[in-house]
Amino acid sequence: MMPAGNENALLWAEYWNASVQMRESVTDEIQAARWNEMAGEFGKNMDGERRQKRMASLLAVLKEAGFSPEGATVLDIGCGPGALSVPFARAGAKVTSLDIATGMLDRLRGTARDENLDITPIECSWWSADIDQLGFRNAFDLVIASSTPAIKDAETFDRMMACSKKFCYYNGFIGGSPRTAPDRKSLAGVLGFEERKGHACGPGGRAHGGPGMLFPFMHLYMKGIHPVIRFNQNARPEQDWNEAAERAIERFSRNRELSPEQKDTIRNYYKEQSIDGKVRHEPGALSAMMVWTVQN
Amino acid sequence: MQEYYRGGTTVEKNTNVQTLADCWKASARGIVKDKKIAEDRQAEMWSKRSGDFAKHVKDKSGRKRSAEILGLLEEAGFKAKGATVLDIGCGPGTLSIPLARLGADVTSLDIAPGMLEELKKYADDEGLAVHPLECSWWTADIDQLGFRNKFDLVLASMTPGVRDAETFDRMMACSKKYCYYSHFLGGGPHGLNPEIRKIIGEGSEVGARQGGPGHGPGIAYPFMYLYALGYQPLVRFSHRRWRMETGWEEAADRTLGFLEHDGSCDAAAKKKIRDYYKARAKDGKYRMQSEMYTGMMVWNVKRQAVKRGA
Repeated sequence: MMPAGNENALLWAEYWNASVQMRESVTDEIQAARWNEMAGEFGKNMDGERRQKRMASLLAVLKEAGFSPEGATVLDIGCGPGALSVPFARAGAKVTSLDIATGMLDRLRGTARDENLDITPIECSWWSADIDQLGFRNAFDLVIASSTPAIKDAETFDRMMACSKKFCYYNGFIGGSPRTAPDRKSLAGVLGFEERKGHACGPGGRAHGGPGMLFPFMHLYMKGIHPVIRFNQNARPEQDWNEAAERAIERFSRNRELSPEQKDTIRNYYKEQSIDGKVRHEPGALSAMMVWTVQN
Repeated sequence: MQEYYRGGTTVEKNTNVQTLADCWKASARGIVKDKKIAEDRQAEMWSKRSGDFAKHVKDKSGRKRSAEILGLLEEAGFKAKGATVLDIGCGPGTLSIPLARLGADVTSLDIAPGMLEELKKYADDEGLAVHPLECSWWTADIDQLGFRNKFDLVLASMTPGVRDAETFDRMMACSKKYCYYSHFLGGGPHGLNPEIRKIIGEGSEVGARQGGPGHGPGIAYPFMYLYALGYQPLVRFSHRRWRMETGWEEAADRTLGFLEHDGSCDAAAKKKIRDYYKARAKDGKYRMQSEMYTGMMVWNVKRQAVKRGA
């Protein structure tokens, strides 16, 4: 399947790199500042039930591949507040959690302390990480990179793989949401606020500035590695319209003061859309998880 | 065991592929609002460009490119001599003609009568077994056409004809052995000139989508879809750079044609775009450097390597 000299795989890596260079140049410092700003609230939107199901689904895929968390060493790249580090540690893994943002790691430390979990936080940029100096090469049973801009090109992806002695897990976005009502104006649009563009991504799927699923997946395929892949529609369940409105008011109030009129606009927005008192949310962006084994 | 979470319920594993198919369809949503109008527009636009395209059937770069593709097909095990071939979105015959020359019996389908005219010229000149068929793949009824499971090879080369899981499945259903699909790589650096993108607005879907308007999301979805179905296609990438020089009006018209075709450009933006090209022309000529990344894949429809919890 692989052509002579791996030229085809190299061409893909080159294409990936070229597409990264086209984007704004973001430094480690900018990246750290951005994520620190979000550190307080990040990941709090997702309800516990959905998070648990997602984790259960991930553990099932890993188990199928032959991985068991009990006693395993795990590296979580771009760990954030610990959405994955914490459940893996709870399941008995020894987790090294790396992130560029102090604020995220502070939250993670708090959780680890409260629950007495085996988590070692490391503040470090993956873009410039020296895995030999860190002693990471070939050191972990499982290496995780979930929806993180830490993996931005073939180099940072290969670096991730080099740290694993067996399993890798990667999660990323594939594409924008299949909208059920494409003509409906978004709430941000109605209020005259700037629309959030993070998830409006093409097939590269670059929400959060990460490379999405396409590049890493194709990169693996061209190396002759065939990962297990699972697609996930990030859907939110139906909600009472007033509950949806209050959640939206809370969300918008985080970084601005809303006037009483704006709050009414938000309530009306959801009320008008509701059917039998319920609001159905647009399905979210499609993401995928993939699991594979490495032979370093 | 192989379940995943979707919208509050756990669903059976075969929806894994369907989820991707839905997303693929949604990604192409900007392209078509009214099917009939969209088809008419496609036919007109491609007919307009048929003269340009036809030049490449015989020029050096065109011949080199088709030789590359024929080589890949051969590597996968396909023999042209005596084979039946369906070429979806055949254009002026970029692949139909060389395949017919090698002894294949080719059915060449396109939505644009102008393209088929060019194809006929080549086929008649050389007395080739090429059967042109004017038809939109979006709405083609393959049973009525007698195409189901009929061809040794089905081609969809750089065509907007195959644009979602439905039209992709339809393509596969016509093959009893090989399929070939190629397209721009999605999500990459090429696409609309960034300056032009600024003119039509940063948030525009046209600017965001790669591979040229009307083309949909490139090879990403078809490849992932095929992989999720359990196939392991032979994949090749190609990167080409070239310079060309045209009259500035022609260059502007080409860009406008793209945008119009996507239905997303107002009069003010049109004027700005024309001014852009005019201002950058020297002696009336606009010089540009283009580059293009494409991906090609070949697979055997009867050979599903793995059931990947599809």
